[in-house]
Amino acid sequence: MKQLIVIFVFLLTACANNKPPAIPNWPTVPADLQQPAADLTPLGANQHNLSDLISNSNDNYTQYYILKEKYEGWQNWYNGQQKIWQGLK
Amino acid sequence: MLDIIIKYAVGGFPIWMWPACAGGSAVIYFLFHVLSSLPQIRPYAFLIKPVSAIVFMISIFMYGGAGVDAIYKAAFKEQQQQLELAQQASTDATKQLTDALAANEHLVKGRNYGVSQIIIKDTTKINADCNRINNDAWEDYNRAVKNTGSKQLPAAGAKQ
Repeated sequence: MKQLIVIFVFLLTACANNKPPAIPNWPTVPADLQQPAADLTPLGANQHNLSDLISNSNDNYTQYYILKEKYEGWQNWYNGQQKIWQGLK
Repeated sequence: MLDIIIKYAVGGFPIWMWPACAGGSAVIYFLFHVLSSLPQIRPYAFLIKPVSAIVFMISIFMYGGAGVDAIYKAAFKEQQQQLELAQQASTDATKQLTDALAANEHLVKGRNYGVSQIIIKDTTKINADCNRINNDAWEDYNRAVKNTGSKQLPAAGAKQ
């Protein structure tokens, strides 16, 4: 009887042969978006001309536009990935 | 150990084996009288009915399990295919964005270069009216650049 129980339990477990769930890979963020934000550049000690100030402003505004691109890039990346992965279900 | 047995022994059985076993055990069960009349089997005749009944039930059970397993496998395969498609779409979208980011950054830097060239060209005109900016203006500008709130002390947490 004990052997019968063991065999029966053994056969029961045959139906519990669960398959592993399909696990998606975590999507990779573009390398550009992982770069740290650059600091703005202050005027140098010997830069007292108005042209230096404008030139420096030009460089700093450029930093802003680069960061704006990255910020919007993050938003685009996140929304795009969300749309792809939510479409699975 | 049990997993290995299940995977390589029970899991490896063909599905047709279970209805075959069920049918065979049912036949043995109903031919009990014929089989028990055979002299070689007669000593074990008392086992025929219970064993064949148990084998019948187990076979049906295992056949059901194999069916469920097949359904799971099909669902898993379909899900795997969808995942592969989604991963490909994800990789493509990331690559597309990487290219767009690089192109836009290049464009921004190009415009910066263009403006800097204009500033260089106009340097004399720009400095004509203001050859040297006030020291306070210089300090205030740098304070703004560094996001420093006070003249004496930098704002809490601000970088110097």
